[in-house]
Formats: sequence, structure tokens, C-alpha cells
Amino acid sequence: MAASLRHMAGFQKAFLMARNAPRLSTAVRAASTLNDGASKVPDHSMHFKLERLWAVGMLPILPASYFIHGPVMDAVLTVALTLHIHWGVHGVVYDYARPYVIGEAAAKAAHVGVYVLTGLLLAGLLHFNTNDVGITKAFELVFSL
Amino acid sequence: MINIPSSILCRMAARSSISRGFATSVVTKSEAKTPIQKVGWEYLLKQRSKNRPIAPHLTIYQPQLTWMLSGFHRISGCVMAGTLLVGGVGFAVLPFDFTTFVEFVRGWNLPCAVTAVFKYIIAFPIIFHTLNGIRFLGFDLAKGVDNIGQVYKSGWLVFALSAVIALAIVVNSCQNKNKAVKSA
Repeated sequence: MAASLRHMAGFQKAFLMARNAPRLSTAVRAASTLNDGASKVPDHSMHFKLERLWAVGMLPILPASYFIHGPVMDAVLTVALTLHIHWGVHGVVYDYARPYVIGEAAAKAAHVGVYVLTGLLLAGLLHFNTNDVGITKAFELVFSL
Repeated sequence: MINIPSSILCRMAARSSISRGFATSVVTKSEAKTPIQKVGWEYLLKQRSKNRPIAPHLTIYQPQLTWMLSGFHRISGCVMAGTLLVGGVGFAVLPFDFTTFVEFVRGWNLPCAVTAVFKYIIAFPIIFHTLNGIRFLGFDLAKGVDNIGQVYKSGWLVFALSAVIALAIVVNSCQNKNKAVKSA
């Protein structure tokens, strides 16, 4: 009672169809007993990298600003410093102004305050660069005393 | 034997201990989002109930170069940021501009020894924060942290280098000033 070649082809066709057909139930992935909750906290790795890359970009600017003075350097310094300071101060606030230490409302206010301070800093520096001598010239003046 | 997944047991244990913590503390909302953070939160509540100090609590540590440079890095960054903020907003609000201010101070005819101290106080944090920033970027890349000796060596190097560069800048500015005074 050998199965005919046509039967064999029929089985194979049915098997392939079954394999490609949409499944009624999806396979359950084995759950790990280690529940560290890693998927529930936001991923800050990209932010961390951007912060470091920004700092690396600032490394040539600082010695250059000792030798090159003027509106272009003032603008470059303003942008570089403002974002660097924003991230730095946010890190400090995130570390110390915790809800556990100062309470939920004060911690939230501190986090909003960082953005306010960064806005004030940017406005202050831009105002100083346009309506006053500018950052590099200011250092020049102080070091001429 | 009853087979309960350990994660469920952990969650139940954490929840019951946190609700116990709420009963004794004024904190109404937990920072904890994950089971592991709940353990930390519970620990914090225990510390509070025993009136223990919380971070940053620097005086309990022996002064060591490692954490002192790290702390000075952060403090110098914050102070410089604060100076820029106060200076930027200040000179926008104040009725006089920066040049007037500097010429007013120049009128005091301070000796170079006095201005040099202030210049050094300005220059040192900028250079230190920059050089130590390079050191910390290296730490982030796992460079220079193979042993504690390396950490100390790079720390002293950064400290000494910033002291020398700041001194060179201040001495240079004082020499320029003397030249300017002589030619005037």
C-alpha cells in the first residue's frame, strides 16, 4: 500500500499551506522570572551619547575662544554653553531635587525651573552679545585689568 | 507544592511593604516604577524612619581626590553657569553696561597682585572643568579606569595641568598690562 506520488505531492502542498496560513494562536514567549522592569523605564542612552558628543564638540571651541574673539565666537559659545549648561543643570536637579527629598510638587517645579533658567540664560547671553560687548570681549576686558 | 512565579511573589511583597511605609511616612507618592526601584524606595523610607542623612552627604566621607575632583567638577560647572546667568540677565537689567563697569573697577588702580587673584579664580574653573571633562569622557569610554592608581594619576595630572595653565594665562595678562601701562 505504497502512497502514490500524487498523494505525496498533495500532502506536501497541504503542509506548506498550513505552515504559511495565519496562525490561530501565537506562540507564547517564555516569561523570564527576572522582572527588572527594564522595559518600563525610558531609555536614556541616546540622550547620554548626545550629551557626550556635544561636550566633545565643545573641546576645540574653548581653547579657540582664548585666541579668537568676536561676534562669531560669541554666538558659537552661546549656543554651545547654553545646551551644555541645560543638560548639566538638569542632571544636578534630577539627582538632588528628588520627590523623596523635597516633595512631589517642589520636584516638579524644580524640573520646570531648569527650562526657565535655560531660557533666561539664552536670552541674557544673546542680549549681552547684541547690546553689550559680547562674551569674548568681556573676558578680554576683565583680563586687561 | 504550590507553584507561584517568583515575580508575582516579589511584587506582592514589595507592594505590602510599601503600603506599610506609607502608613508611617508623609510621602504620598512613590518614585518607584519597577520592582527593583520599589526595593530602593522601601530602603529610602527605612532610612528616613531612622532619621539617617540622605545624599548628598559629603561630610561622612574621608576627603579623597576621586570624589573631591568629581564634586568640584559639578560645583565649578554650576557656579560658572550661575555666573553666566546672573551676568547675562544682570547686565541686561542694570542701568550700566559692561564697559562702564570694567572702567569703573580700573579706576580703583588695583595692583596686579590683587587682580591676578581674581583672574585666577575666573580662569582656573574654566580650565579645570574642560580638562577634567576630557578625563570624565575617557571614564565614559572605560578608558583610564583599569585600576585606582590610574584614576589618581589622571586626577593629579588634570589638577596640576589646570593650575599651571591658569597661572600662565594670568601671568601673561599681567605682563600685557604692564606693557600697556609702560607704552601709555
